Amino acid sequence: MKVSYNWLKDYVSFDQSPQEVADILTLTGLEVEDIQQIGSSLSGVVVGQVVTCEQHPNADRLKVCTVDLGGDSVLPIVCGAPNVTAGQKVLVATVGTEMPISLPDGSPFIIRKSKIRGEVSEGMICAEDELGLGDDHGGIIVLDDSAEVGKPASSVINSNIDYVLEIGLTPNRPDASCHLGVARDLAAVLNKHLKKPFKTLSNPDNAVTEHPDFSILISDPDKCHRYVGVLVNGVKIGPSPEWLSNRIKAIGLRPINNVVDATNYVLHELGQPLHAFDYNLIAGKSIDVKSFQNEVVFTTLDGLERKVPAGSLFICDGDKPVALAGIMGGLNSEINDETTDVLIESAYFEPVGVRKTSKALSLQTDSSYRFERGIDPNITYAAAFRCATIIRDIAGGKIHPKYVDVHPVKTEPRKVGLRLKRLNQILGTSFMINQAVSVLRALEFEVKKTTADEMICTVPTFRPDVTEEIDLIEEVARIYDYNKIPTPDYIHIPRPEILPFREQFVSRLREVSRSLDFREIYANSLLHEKTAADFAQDDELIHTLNPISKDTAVLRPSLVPGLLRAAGYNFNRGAKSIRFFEIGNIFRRGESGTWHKGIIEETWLMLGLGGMRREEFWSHKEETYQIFDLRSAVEVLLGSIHLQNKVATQKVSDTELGFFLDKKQIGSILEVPKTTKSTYDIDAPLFVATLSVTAMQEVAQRLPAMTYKMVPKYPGIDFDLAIQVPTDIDAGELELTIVSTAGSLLKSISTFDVFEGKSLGEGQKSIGFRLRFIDEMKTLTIKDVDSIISKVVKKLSGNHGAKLRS
Amino acid sequence: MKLDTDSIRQSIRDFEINSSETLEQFRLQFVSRKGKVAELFSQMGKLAAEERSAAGKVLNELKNEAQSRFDLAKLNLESQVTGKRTATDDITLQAPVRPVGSLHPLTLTLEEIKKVFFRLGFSIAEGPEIEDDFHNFTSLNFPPEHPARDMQDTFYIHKDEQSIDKDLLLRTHTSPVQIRKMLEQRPPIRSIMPGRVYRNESVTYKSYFLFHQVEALYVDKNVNFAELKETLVMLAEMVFNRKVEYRLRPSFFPFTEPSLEMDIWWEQPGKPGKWLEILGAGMVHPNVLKSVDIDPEVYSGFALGMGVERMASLRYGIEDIRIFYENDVRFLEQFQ
Repeated sequence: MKVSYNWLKDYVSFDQSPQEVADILTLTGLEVEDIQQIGSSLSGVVVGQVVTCEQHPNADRLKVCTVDLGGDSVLPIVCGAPNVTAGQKVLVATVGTEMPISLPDGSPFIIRKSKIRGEVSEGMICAEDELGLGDDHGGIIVLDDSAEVGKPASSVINSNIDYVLEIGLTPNRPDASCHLGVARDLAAVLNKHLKKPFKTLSNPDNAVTEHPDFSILISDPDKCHRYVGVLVNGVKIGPSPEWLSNRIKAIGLRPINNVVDATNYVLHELGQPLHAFDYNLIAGKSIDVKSFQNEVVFTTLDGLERKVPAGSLFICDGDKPVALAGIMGGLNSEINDETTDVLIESAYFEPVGVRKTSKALSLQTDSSYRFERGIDPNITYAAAFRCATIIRDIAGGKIHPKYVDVHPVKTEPRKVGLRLKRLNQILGTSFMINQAVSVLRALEFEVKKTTADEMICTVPTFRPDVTEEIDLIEEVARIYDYNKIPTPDYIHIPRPEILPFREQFVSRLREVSRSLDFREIYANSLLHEKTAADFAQDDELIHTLNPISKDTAVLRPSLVPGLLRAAGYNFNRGAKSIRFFEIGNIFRRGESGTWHKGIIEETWLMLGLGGMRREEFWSHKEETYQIFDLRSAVEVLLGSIHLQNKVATQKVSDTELGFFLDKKQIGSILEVPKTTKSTYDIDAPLFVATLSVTAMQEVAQRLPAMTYKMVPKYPGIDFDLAIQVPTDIDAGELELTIVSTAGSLLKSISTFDVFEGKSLGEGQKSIGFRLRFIDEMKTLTIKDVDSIISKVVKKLSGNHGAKLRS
Repeated sequence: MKLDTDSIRQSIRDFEINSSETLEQFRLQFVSRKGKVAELFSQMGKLAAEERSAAGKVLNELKNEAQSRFDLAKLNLESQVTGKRTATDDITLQAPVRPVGSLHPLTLTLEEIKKVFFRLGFSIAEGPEIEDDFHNFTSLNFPPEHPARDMQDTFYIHKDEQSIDKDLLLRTHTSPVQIRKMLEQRPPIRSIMPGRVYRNESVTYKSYFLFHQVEALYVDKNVNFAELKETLVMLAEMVFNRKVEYRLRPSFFPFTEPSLEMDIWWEQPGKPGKWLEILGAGMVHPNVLKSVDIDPEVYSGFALGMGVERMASLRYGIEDIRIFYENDVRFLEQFQ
């Protein structure tokens, strides 16, 4: 919201600079985000007289002038304006002047001595727009002949200098959505009197229910609590006077005509949106404020035909809607050049109704913005009369002595109690009661002390946000200044809670993943439906109802798409190798539901690697990653969270291994298939492992704390077992058989050799396992393990058709 | 009689060994069984009996000294052999690069924030990213159809026919976790709540439709605004690791009152200084306490929240928020 610095001075007198005013407002909660100077200081610009004016020898459109600037100073100036001639009194920006407008590239426009097409120029003869005085660039400003050469420009024209404060208004402060409201906070901080542009809020006695020239009916009093109509007859529509159009421009609006500008002026002065109808376009001279059961097609004054949903509130004349209540007027009753009689509407429309319609139409106006936040229901008449007065003063005409005020729903000011003890308890302060009272009174609260430290405050009706004691406490604190509230020397810290297991567990996973040389990524959790569909059933996917785009319409059912995207991104930018991990939530529809019924939201861990394991180097040949590189990382990770013996690995398909915890699959590891990779433009081999953090955490949480085990006192013994099996037998099966048969002396097993060849015969392969046995009670000899080996061999032979190779 | 150990010791020390030839000469003179030291041993017999023990000790020392001089010189000579150097026998050859792990800058920043709060005795809590309207809005004092809801453009998952409270949405802030925490635990409560949040906003250099927040909540008897201020200053100083110049501006969040935003004064070389907003905070609104059945007359509390992306951007001078989600290795590797 834009606020004019000069305009504020109408209501409160102050000497503070624009920056100081901005700082004060910011610290009361009206955050000034930007200050713009408009108009020009005109310093460096002086009155000059064109002495000679010749055609430029090298440019058709330019003239070379000599200009008398007073004293002995007669300077050559090249000028491109069509209207420049000898003898004119003009405004000259002298060398060194910084102009109020910037160059097209945004850099400051500073007048310099220069050569223009070979002719020396020592200044600039100015047009209106160049001085920031208007939009006119048709020619230079020609002054009245009485202007005195050499005098500063400010002696002959008004500089119109002003500062526009851009305020980021929070939704709780509808009262500050106008200049008077902003001035009120400023006056309260500066301890100054607030000068109001109206005498009283109460109606004079000329309100009538039966007006001779028009009637007003509120058919839907739930949505319209009050409607005031004031008639101004015999106006002459024309442009606004300079003071008004300057103010309208200062706050970023475009002046339209004197009547419309007057309504906008009062809106930005008092916060009451107004509408001006052309009285002669109101059929039947009757106004009915009503809503329709059905959708209505209505053309607003911006010329757009809109389908307005059922239930929206309209202002209707004798036969048709003429305005969308509180949002925008209709094209059919707009003020136009022929308008002579103006009916001013000043009404209180209920916030929720305006908001619903405004939302449905995606149409927010200065008017709807204020209604939906809640305007003052008691300023209705004062604003209408203020507007009528301005119209009379600038557009002529006569205010009809009678006016209509239909007021079916009255708003009584709210009364809220404030206890000084509570105030000091919440703020940690030691305010005296009179400090609180004077702040509240400055903000126009009526305060009545009831006991030594309690008071009853009557809340002005322009403060709908103040409904309870805590709101009053905030008022006192914000006007006093948060920064002045003393901070305590110490704060008390209650006994800390133990950190939840989940925090420790997830931190551990993250740290281990990093130490295994994976880089953490943060991937997008909103995906294109097609992307997501590759990783879950269609009925498991969770869509947002109002996505920004199709690319971000579905919540991720897996962390794998994030890896694919990151891998593709980096491979296509020259990366030879990637090692990524992510810990994040995934989402699916499901019977049970995690937090909400039907919605499964679980934390997962993804580890992925791909591309070159090692690039070609003097010490080794290049190698690409294999799935085993990722498996070893996963195994170390499981070990580091003490789940290595709990998580079983089992083949799910020829290209995928599943991880199982208590027979339930909690993850998998696989090579990403070519078809999937091609979507992401990936050629390199790529492997991914995913594990449910939620599932692992549940089991890990129940594990006893890790304790130290005695280091073996006796050396172990290695036994190399080479066996021959049919090619289609999985090594993993053999390993399981060995482990389950060998008993407790077997401490580890390592696959040291795999080969196939003619010597073995067709369809056969050989696998070498190195078994390490350790006995904690004694040094093992080969004799000790012989019986175990023969048991293992027998089992391998029986279960898998394995033969011992000698 | 006296053995001439001193001059032999001196010649052992002075002998110049710089080649295999001189090494061999040293060996023959001092180490070999026919060398000068052995010669001295053979003269032991000529000594008086009471002198032998002391002389034996001296001779043994001499023998050891010769031997270690020889061993050391031999090692030195061997390692100096350069004539047979192979192409890869070159310590200056480049070492292979190895993969390196790293944590995301958002994680690093969040960890810093967590550390501060853990030092202050806060615990940590989490909630779902898919949240219902009750937890995300209503219980936080956002009435239905209130313009305050416009501050947070929302992605909806499900619109409930019966009750707006049951609408499902992507949480727009981490504040619903405050509600969950207060519903499951009675005061004192002192916890932080980090997590991913979503806003239905278009993507620009300074906004993204998802980002991360961390909130802190403290509810107990006699928690006041002055303590909140002190906590904010400690937080800012610990996160930025220096004294900060700050200001507190009144602001508006439906779930706190009084509400504030904290700016810190930010200066970068070559640029004019400016106030930068780093967080929002306030005293927990009595309506919020009531909605979770905590008596606001007995308990009070404060809450504060900040954007992790914003803090990370400030720490690392990042100007385009989108880079956090691109996962470009050339970006990530700067944080290892």
